[in-house]
Amino acid sequence: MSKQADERGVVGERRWLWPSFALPGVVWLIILFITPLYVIFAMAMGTTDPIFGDTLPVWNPLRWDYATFGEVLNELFTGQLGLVFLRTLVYVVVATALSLLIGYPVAYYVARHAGRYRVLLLLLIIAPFWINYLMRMLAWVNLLSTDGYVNQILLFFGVLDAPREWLVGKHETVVLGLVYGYVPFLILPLFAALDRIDPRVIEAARDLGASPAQAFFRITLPLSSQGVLAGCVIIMLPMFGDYYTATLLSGSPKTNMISKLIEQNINASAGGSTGAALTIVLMVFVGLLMTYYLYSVARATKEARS
Amino acid sequence: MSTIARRTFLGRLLAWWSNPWGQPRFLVLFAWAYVLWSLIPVAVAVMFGFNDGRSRSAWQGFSLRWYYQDPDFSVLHDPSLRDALVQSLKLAGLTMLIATPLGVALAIGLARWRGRGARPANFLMLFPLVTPEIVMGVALFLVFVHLFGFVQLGTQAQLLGHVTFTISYVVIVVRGRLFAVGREYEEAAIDLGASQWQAIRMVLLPMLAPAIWASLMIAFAISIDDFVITAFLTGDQSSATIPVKLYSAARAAPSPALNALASILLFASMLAIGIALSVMRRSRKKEGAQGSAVEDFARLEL
Amino acid sequence: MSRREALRLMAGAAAAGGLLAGCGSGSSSSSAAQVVVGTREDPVKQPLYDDNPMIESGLEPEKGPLKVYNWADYIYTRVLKDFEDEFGVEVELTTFYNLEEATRKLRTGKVDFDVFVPTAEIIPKFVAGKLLQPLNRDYLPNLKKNVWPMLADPYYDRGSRYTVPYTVYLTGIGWRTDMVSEDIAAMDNPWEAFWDPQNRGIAGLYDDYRETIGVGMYRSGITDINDDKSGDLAASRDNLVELTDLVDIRYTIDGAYAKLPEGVFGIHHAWSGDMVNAPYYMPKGGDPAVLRYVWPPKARGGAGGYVSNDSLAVLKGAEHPVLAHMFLNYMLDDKVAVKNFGWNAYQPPINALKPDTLVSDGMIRENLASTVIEQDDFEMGQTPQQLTPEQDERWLEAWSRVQQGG
Repeated sequence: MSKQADERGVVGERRWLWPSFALPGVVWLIILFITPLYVIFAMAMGTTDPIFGDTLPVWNPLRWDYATFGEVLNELFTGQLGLVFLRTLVYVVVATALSLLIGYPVAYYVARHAGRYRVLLLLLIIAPFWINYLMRMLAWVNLLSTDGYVNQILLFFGVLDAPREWLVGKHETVVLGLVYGYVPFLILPLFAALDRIDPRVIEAARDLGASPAQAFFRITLPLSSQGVLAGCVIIMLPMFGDYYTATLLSGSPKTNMISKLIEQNINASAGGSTGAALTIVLMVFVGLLMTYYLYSVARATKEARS
Repeated sequence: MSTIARRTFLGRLLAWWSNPWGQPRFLVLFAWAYVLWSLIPVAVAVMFGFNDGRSRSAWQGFSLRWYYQDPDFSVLHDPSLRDALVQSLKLAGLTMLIATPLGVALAIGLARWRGRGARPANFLMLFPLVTPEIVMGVALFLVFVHLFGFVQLGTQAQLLGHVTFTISYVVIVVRGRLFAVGREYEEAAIDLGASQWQAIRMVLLPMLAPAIWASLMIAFAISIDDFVITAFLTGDQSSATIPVKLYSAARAAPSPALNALASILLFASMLAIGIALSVMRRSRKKEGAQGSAVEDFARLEL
Repeated sequence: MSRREALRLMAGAAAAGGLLAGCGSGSSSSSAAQVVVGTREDPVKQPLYDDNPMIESGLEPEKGPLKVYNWADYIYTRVLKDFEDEFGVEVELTTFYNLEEATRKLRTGKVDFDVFVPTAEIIPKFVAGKLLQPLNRDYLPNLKKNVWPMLADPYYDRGSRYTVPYTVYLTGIGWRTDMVSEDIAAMDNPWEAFWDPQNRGIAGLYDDYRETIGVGMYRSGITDINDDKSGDLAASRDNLVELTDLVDIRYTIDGAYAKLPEGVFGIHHAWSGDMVNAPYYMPKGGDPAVLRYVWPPKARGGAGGYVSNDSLAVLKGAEHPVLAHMFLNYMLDDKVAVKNFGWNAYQPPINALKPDTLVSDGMIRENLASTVIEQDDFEMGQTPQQLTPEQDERWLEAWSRVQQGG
């Protein structure tokens, strides 16, 4: 009944009602989001100011200068730039996978087994949302310094023979930094997904003879897959745009992510169009990811409806 | 086990450990270990805000000097730090007040819109979520310099940028609740003689209240933590926010006053959340909802 | 397109031909702007423009507040307070961390700062871009009286039409004797020390493409970093790329004055002022005597290195130009300059501050005596200049390649 009502619309409802609700938000986004994106293109295909040497945007698409963009694409596919992109991809994928490995059990525990501690745990897990990201990272810079607590503890337990230089261009430090920074953002959607699973379904499986492991892999995991996908997308997107984690945790070009190159170029006067071009490439890539996500959500919804 | 042993925490711990049918031990340890790993560095950072000396890594005794005692460099007396705190709070407050109504309206509109513009509008709403902040920061800066010159760099520009970035999150939060609520109640109200507007105002919005509260909180949190977009849209130092100060100072020689500053922010946020949660709890009690507000927030099923 | 942009594009078209005019004519011109770059061999007068007049003489100072736009941590707030007391006005200090950000903001024309601190290299384009207003030297008696002659009438701004000097500095190498055993000052080319595998994990360079591509060039014995003659850029780039894996190089901006004394680095690219400051950042229990500095042009092999100065200027959109002029004059006062130096550690080119007494007066530690700068040093090192936009792009490309870390 509800489905019919949705399609038909409530009797007496005017056709402009709901669009007019959406209008302010849409107008805002067009003015303050779409227009700036156009500016990126205008910069990427822009010209150079003869006095200051920086990039000036060119508004008319017919006068766009594609030289810089072409160079960037060239560098991407044949030059070193592709390496940075690949490195970023590897960092993000590994960090996401690790976050999943860490976050899933935690979310599972809180959703299914936490009992009386549930609310407390949720509060503790949500807490990092309100603690400044940079402060959390700076705390780690402190702990990971050569004479910091991490080295001291590892030395004490004999894991290390000598203090390790965590902050000198180490890939693992950057990846762990990303994990630390973003895993709370993964746990919540996972929790939401796991919590939605009706416990009786699992009980039924157990009653029918499935072992706990089987019940998990064949019931729980598939049912939570949408949440897993959502959570991964939620953290992968900002990770691609992250440049400060690597800067704080390692000063070396060995660990530079693509956004650091964007930032460096944008902040140098002559690099405006290169930076903007790199940005477009990044957006396209991230957009592909998002499209895949939206497609799978749409498909899942369609399956659920039928 | 004797009942006396069971009453003490240690006794219960031992009982739990030796019970093969109880909760899975590995998961419990893992979850609590995660919480410790997640929060201990923060606790350490907060702790050093109370350090007596200048060091951020060697404990030199407890003191409140970085909060208000030190006449030059404490948060209270160093104008740049104090201004950063005020600016962060001001910006976050304004952002939440502007982004939430816009986002709620957008969510309602998108959810119910049947026409041809609905899908592109939906896509438009999702787009900012996909866009890395550095892109937005640079783009917005250029827009305010080259196109919308009447907007001042500083609080005005920062506010516009923050709201733009936050609207989509509000929509996502409210949307979940919208789908849960459905349209039956409004339809019932209309059948009983209410006008469309009355149905929205007196039925739908109150039912969305928990989501609206959550949106306020989320908008606040996003704004207060934001650094990339804010940095690009800062005019002069009076519009520098705490994250901007933290990052620039992190590349110089930070003092424990920064720890104190970030801690103040943390305490303020915790207070804000506490208030919001208790309001949520009260409104949910009126509805007769079960369970805890925190859980519902975590499920985004407000 | 805004009117400002239209004007700039027209001016740009006019300037396209005469970008690096080596000689200034000194005559005023109208809105066609030219970037006029001077060298010590070929000093220039910055052009004056009709639409950018200087203020009249004999005016009363405004009520304030005076707005100063400066690098972070580059001026002593006590000195500002003293100015407030002496002139009965308020001073608002706004700071920036990188020059691009500052330039961008100034070019928008929407900020109303009065005083700015340009580096010597950017003065030509700031003048051409009409961001600075010409100075009325009637308000600046301290200029001729107190300042080193060669900077009171500098090669980049003959007649001090737009700027007065603020500080002078060298770019060299700072290191700790307890972490680096080699005596870097005794090397033929001290820059080579960064390529020494023994310094693995403790070496740092500035995160600034202009300076650090320069270092890559210095290593190959190139001393001219104001140009990129064929092969120079490639050599520098290859040198720097080598560093990534060879010594785990890191790029920072605070490495010299903060991280070197903390022991995070053993050897770092350093401005002279940073090293003068470094002892104060030594943690408790550390010994400042281990810090050393060398300016490679003074080393045995006469390697590359540069010497430069920062200036003070009054911005075109200043709302308190008279007050700003008085502030500039105030900063050139002997006592004020010395007091400022005592805090910001960058040497002012003031006659009263004799280089030979800086160490004996205790203003600079003895182990860091090599940070002292004398007028003759300007003959030994090179002064950096603005690159043309095309050169800039090539340099940035080389830097990007280094930053890709592959």
